[in-house]
Amino acid sequence: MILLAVDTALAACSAAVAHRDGEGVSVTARGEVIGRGHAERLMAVIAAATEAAGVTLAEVEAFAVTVGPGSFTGLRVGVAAVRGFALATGRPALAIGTLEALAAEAALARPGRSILAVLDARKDEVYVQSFDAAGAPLDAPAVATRTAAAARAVALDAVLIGSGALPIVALEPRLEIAGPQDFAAIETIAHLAFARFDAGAFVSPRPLYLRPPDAKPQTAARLARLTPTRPGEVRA
Amino acid sequence: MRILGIETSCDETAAAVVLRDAEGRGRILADVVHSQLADHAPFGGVVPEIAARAHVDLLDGLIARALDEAGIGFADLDGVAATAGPGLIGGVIVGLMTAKAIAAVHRLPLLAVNHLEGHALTPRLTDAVAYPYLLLLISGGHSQFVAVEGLGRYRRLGTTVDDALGEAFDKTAKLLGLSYPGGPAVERMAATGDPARFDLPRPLMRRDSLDFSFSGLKTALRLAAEACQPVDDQTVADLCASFQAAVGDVVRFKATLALERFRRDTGEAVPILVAAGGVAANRAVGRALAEAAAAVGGRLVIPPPKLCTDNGAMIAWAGAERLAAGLVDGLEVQARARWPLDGDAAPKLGSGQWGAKA
Repeated sequence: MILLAVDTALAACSAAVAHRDGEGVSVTARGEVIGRGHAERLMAVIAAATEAAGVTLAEVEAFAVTVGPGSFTGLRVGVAAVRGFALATGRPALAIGTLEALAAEAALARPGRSILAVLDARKDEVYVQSFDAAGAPLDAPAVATRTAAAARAVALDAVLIGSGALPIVALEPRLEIAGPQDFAAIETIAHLAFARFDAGAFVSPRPLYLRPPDAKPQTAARLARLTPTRPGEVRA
Repeated sequence: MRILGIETSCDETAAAVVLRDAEGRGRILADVVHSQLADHAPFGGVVPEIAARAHVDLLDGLIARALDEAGIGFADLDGVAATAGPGLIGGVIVGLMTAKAIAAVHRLPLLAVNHLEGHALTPRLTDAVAYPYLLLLISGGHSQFVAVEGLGRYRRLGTTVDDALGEAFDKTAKLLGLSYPGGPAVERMAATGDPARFDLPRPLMRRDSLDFSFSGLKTALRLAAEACQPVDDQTVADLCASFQAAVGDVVRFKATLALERFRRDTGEAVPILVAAGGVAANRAVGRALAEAAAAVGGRLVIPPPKLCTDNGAMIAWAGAERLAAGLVDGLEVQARARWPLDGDAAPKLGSGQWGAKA
């Protein structure tokens, strides 16, 4: 079983070929921390990973991608590529959350602790998801204020992980950080993808934006009108 | 050769398959377009983030449909073409990444197509028009005259220094409380209006320039409308008719001038004027262009409306022409928000303009 995992959700532009047989899983990963410019670099990173693993894209049996939360453009780069791979090969696609991937790493670093995965979402907000001591999600990813996220972490006695962790510790100095990473390793994402594959959770991946598009509906015509409208006109 | 074409640069998600035969003639095997009109209508214009979100949800399904309608699979393709700009960058990235993925899996040549080149080469697909010809591209994003001298040989003769013509229609419709998109709404209202009631300006109507300017016209229309508040339906119709009359006069004048200049430059006895873009479907504009062509003894070609507005077939066709000429792109190719057709054109800036649009 050969799987390709792709992550362009945050600062990293990464790809991993994960191979599983009777003896276990081996992962061949390539990636760069670039911040932006994922659309130009991704195919070269994928080519480096597949070449190093000695496989072609046509041999890959499932494609996994991080769907967010993260940079809107970054999410679309990875999701468009993986949906293109799935379409072009007829193979299934799998969606992995950026927060659940971070939580998986926190669970390894601090076993037995509940976890709050937090990513900086700007505007004094964070993307946040909590997990129990067994690593199972307690809620869905959401946007929250830093204050609310800090309160949640205190209530759960959770360790923090992700780029939103430091500002929250600044609010609640008793809280602990499970690790320094701002994003999960592509190897972690690949391992989660196997679990999802085994569960048969095949999807058309969709970016998990968690915020609506920044646009306001047109309220009214700017002109004062005397009479009712004709057909074909729109009045708010 | 068979080329898959992908277009996602604005608010249409589109995929098509085009066949180019050995003689260089084209045939559309499939052409599917999903218009996001309804998604943007409440906002009175295209919202880039909404468009990008829709493209990523819709595109793979549309590609599958296009291949199905063409009755072929990926293995039957000779190349994958996608719009790489200019346009709304979030959407362009979605189409380009999808094309890269398909090209990588099937080891197909990738053709990163300039959206404007797609419009520019469409008459060769629909009407087998030979080089050289004069293109007037009039849409929500562009208003420009381009001398199309050969594949990759485009000379911009004039462009708008502020708003695109389609943008002027949309803003007029928005001001008057008409539906989006503005072109058809303004045209409908103008039908019962008096084009002589409001004396609106004809900006930049000078013989020394093929550039357009529409922002002053838009402002004049707003002032005229505000002076009549509260406006009744007849006033709205008269405003639309007066606006369209001004646009028609400008377009007729500029097209005549452009055809004369094009004939002088090329020596073509019967210069061909090709109109493309959504505004080319406006009948008043079409009439003005026909009059301009007749005035100089030229020929007007307007592709069918479906191929005037954004579509995948024009991208596939431009890709086919490029592939036939050996022009292939690498998988690192970048999506570009701004990408003038004549690569080295300097940005055109009108007064009070914040940045170049094309």
